[in-house]
Amino acid sequence: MNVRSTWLVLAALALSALPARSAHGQSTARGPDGQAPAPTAKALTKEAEEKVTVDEAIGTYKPVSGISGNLSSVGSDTLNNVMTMWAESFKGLYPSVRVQIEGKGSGTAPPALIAGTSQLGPMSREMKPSESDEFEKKFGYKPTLVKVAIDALAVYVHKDNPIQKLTLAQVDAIFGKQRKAGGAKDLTTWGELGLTGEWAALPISMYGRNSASGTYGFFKEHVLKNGDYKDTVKEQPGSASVVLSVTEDRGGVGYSGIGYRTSGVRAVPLAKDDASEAPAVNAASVYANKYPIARYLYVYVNKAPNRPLDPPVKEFLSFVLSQQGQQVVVKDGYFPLLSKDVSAETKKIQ
Amino acid sequence: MPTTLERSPDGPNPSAEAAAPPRGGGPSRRLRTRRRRDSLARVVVVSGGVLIIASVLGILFFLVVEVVPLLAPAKVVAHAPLNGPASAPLGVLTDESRTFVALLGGDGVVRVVRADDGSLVAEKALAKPAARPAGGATLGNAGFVLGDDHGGVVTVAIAFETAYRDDRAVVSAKIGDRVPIAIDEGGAPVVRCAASLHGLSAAVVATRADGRVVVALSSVEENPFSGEKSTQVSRHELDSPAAVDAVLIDRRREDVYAATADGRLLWWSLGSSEPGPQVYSVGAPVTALSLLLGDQALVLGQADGALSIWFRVARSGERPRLERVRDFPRLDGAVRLLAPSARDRTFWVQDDAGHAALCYSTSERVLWSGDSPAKAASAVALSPKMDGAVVAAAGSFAALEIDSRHPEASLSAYFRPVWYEGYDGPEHVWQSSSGSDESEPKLGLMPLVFGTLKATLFSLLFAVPLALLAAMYTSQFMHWKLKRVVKPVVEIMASLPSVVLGFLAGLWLAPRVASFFLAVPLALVVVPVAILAASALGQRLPARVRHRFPDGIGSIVSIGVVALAIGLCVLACRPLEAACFGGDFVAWLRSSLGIAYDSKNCVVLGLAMGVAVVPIIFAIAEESFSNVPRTLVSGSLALGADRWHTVTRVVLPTASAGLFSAVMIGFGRAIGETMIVVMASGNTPIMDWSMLRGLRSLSANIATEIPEAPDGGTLYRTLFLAALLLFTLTFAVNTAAELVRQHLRQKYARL
Repeated sequence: MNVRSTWLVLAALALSALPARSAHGQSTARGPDGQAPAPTAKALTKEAEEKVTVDEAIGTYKPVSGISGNLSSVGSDTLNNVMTMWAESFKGLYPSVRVQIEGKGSGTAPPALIAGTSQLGPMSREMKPSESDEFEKKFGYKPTLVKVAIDALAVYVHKDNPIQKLTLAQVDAIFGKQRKAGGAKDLTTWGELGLTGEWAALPISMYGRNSASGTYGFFKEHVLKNGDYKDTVKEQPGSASVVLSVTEDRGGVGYSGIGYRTSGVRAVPLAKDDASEAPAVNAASVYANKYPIARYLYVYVNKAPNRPLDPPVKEFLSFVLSQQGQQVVVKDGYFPLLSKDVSAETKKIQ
Repeated sequence: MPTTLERSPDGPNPSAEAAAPPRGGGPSRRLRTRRRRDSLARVVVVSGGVLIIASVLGILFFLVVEVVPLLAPAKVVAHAPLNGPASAPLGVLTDESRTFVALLGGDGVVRVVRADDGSLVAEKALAKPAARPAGGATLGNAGFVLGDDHGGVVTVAIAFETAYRDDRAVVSAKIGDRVPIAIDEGGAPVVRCAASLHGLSAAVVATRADGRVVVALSSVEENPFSGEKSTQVSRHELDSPAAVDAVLIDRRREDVYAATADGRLLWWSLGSSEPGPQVYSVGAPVTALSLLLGDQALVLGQADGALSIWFRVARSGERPRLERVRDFPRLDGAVRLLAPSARDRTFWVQDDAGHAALCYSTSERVLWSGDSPAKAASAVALSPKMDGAVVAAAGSFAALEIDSRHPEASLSAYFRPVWYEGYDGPEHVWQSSSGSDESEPKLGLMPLVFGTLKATLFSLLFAVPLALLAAMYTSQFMHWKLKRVVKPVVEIMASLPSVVLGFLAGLWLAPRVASFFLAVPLALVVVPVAILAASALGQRLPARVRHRFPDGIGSIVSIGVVALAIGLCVLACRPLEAACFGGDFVAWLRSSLGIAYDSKNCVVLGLAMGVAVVPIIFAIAEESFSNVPRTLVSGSLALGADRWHTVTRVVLPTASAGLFSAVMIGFGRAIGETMIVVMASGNTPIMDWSMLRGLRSLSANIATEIPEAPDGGTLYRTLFLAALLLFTLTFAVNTAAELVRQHLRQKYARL
C-alpha cells in the first residue's frame, strides 16, 4: 500500500476542507480573515530570501534522439518531489519514456536496486557499507553514486514559536536519549530552552521519520552522533506529514529536508556549538559549510564498469546534471550543485 | 459464519425424496441428479476447507522457514596455512575482496602477499635502520603504525584499488609512503602503540618505557561542497600509574584506554578537565584489549581466560564511568588476540592454547568456536566485509571463510532486556536500523508485542460494550421499521477503508482531542446521565402526547440526546478548564498529576479502531440475538417475565456462544489492524500502560519497515518473526475462543 501518496492526497484534502483549530483556537490553515488559504510557503520563503541561482557554468541539456522505455525510481522521500518534477520535464522532452516514482525512504532504494525493480535509487544519505556489500554480492561491482542536489536538513518548529536558535547539542538533547553531542541535561519543555510565558511550560513534542528514511539516518549520525532517538519521537511516514504535524502542534518540533518548508512552520537557525553563530538557512551559509547539517542528495544507479548506462537512465541523469535539471532543484526549495560537482558527476555516468 | 452454517441440512431432504414417485424400480433420474449434485457439493466444500487449512499451515510453514535461519550458527572454513614472513607479525590486514594480505612483521617490514599462494607482491621497511621495532598495530584496515626503541613512531597507508578489465575485477595493492609521527624523537623507547582513523583524521597513541602515554592527533575538517580542508594538530602527554600492556584510542579521538599488567584498566577522556585516568581493577592481568565497531564498547581479555564487554555509562547526576556490562564464556587459556569486525559487533578471540571463537556483543552469542588454523598466531584480522579472516603467526598465515548472516539475532536479544551501548541498564528497545552501520541495532520485540496488546485492549474496551449493547437494542427493542435502516447502515460502516479512518484519527481527530481533552472524561459522566434523564422525561409525558408520535421515535430522539450531551461537554470544556485547571487541562494533568500526554494516544486510537471494529461485532452479535428461537421469547413473556427480564435471562444466555465469537472476531480484526495504528498511534515503541501515551504495534511495524529490509537480511527475518508472533498470538486466542464457544453452545443447545 502506498502510504505516502495517500497521506499527501488526504493531507491536501484536510488543509483545504477542514480548518483545524490549534490549542488556542487560531485557524492555522487559513489566513487571519478566514478567507482563502494564504499563498503557499514556497512563494513566501522565496520572496523573503535572496534568490538562489544556478551556476551558469553548468551546461544546458540537449535532447538526443531515439530514447524510449521505462524508468522506475524507488527511494528517498526527501527527493520525491524533485524526482517527480524532473520526471515531468523529462517526459516533456521524451514523450515515449514512462517514469514511475515511489518515495518511501532512502532505505527502500538499495533493496529495489538489488532486486532490479528500479533503475534509479534516490537517497538522502550515502549507502551503508552493509547495503553496498549486498549489492556487490549480487552484481560483482559497487553501485554508482551520483550527487544531484544539496539539502540543508532543517529543524522545524511551529510558526508562532519564538525560539531564536538551537545548537546541535540542544537538538540532540531534544531528540536523543544519550546526548552524545554533549548536552548537559534532557530537554523536555520549551522553558528549558529559555522561552517564557505560555511557552515555558509547554512540552516539546518531537516528530521524526521512520527508520527507512535517509533523513532519519543522517540526523541520527550527525546530530545524535549515532545515539538513539527517544522512544517518544513520533515517527511519521513522510517528510510532508512531519511538517504537517508540526503545523498542527504548537509545541511541535520536527526535522525534514528544506524542500518541505511551508508557511505553517519555521526552520530554526542552527549553530554548531555555543561559541559559533547560527546562520540563517540560505545558499550562502550552506555553500560555506556554516550551516551545520547541510548534505548532498544522491541518486544511486547500477552501472557495470566499462559499460554505458541504459540510454534512458543516462539521459535522465544528464538532464538532472544540467542547467534545466538544477533549476528544478531550486524550484523545489533545495540548493543546486556547483559546477565542479556537476562535471565530476557527469564523468561518472559516461 | 458458524451460526448460519449449522443449520444447513446435512443430506437430502427425506420428505422431498418420498414425494418423488418411483419410476421403473430404481431411484428416479431426479434423485440421481440430486445425489450427484450433493456429492459434488460435498467435494467442493470439503476441498475448500482442506485448502484453507492447507494454506494456513502453508503460511505458518513459510514464516517458520524464513525465521529459522536467524539462529543458525556461523560457518567458518579454514584454508590450509601458507608460508609467510619469518618474523612474528605485529599486525595483519586484508582487502575487501580478500585478494591480498598485508603483514607488519616484527622486523619492521610491511609486506603485501597474495592470499591464495602467499607470493610476495610488495614490501617496505618502516623502521629506521638502527632502531629495533617494538609495538605495532593496524590503522583502521587501511595501514599500520609502528613504534621503535628510539622513541620514533611511523605510520604507513596501504591502498587497494579495484579496476575492471573484461568484466573481471582486478585488485592491485600499493604501500604508501612512511609518515613519521611527532611523538618525541629520541625519547624513551616506545613499548606499545595504536592508532585510529576517521575519515581524514587520525590519532596515534604510544606508550613509552618511562610510563608516559603520548597521543598525537590530527583533525581534518573538510567543507564537502567546496572541498576546502583545514587541519589541526595537537599532542597530549598522559601519565600512567603503571607499565601499560595494551593501549587503544577511539576514532573520535576523545578516549584513550590502556590496560596494565597488574590487572587495571585505565581510561583517559581527552576532552575532560581531569588530569589523571579513571582506574578500574579488573582482577587478572589484561592480555588483550579491543574496541568494537562504533568505538563505544571495549572488549577485555584476561590472563585467566575471562572475556568481558565494558562501556561508558552516564547515569544522570554522576560522572560517566566504565562498567562491566556482560561476560562471555571463559576461554581455556589466557586471551591472546582480539579482532573486531568493521561491519558489525562481531569479534574474533583466540587464546594461548589456539582455541578461537567468534562472538557478537549485543546478542551475547558465541557464533562459532573451534581451533584456530594458526595456534601460535600473533596477529589476526577480520576482513572488511566480515566474510573472512586472516590469522598470522611467525612463518605462516592462514585465511578463513566466514559465513555469519545473522549474528545480531538471538532469543535474548529479541525477548529479554538488553544492555545497549550508552544505556544506564538493560532495557527493551526497538530501534532496528539507521543510516550507519555504526549504531547498534536494537531488536527488542517486547515493546511491539506490548503495543499490539495495548492497542487491541483499548480498542475493544471502546468497541465491545458499544457494539454488544447496540446489537441487543437493535434486535430486541428497536422498532422494526427503524431496524431495517439501522442494521445495514452499521454494517456498511465496516466497509470504510481503514486508511481513511487512520488518517482522520491521526491528523484531524488527534489535535482536536488534545485541545478538548477534558470533554472525554466529562462525556463519560454526562452522556449516561443525559440518556437516563431523557428517558425519564419521556416516561413522564402524558400518554395522550406520547401516542401522537410514531413508534420507535425514542431511538431517534436518543441519538439527538447523545449528540447534544457530547456537544455540551465540548462547549463546557473551555470555561471549565479556565475555572478549575488553569486554562489547560492537558498541562494541568502533566504538572499536577505527572501524567504525560501524547497527541497521538490510545484514546484517539481506540476511537478510530472502535469505528472499524464495532460494525463487525455488531453484525455478528445482532445475528446471534435474532437467531434465538421466537418460541423461547414468547414462552418467557407468556410466563409473565417482562421484556428486560426476557432479554437478560433468556435471550442473552442462548445467544452467548454467538456473542462470544462476535467479540473474538472483533479481537482478530483489532489485533491485525495496521493502517489505523500506523497513522494514529504515533508509532512510539514505548512500554507504558497509560492510555494517554502512544504505542507501536507488530503489524504497523511490519508495514513501515519491510520496504527497507533487504531480502534475507536480519531485519527482514526479524519482521517475519514479528509476523510469526502475531500469527501465533491470533491463533492461540482464536483457538481458546473456539473452545469456549463450543462449550457455551453445548451448554445452551438444549434450549
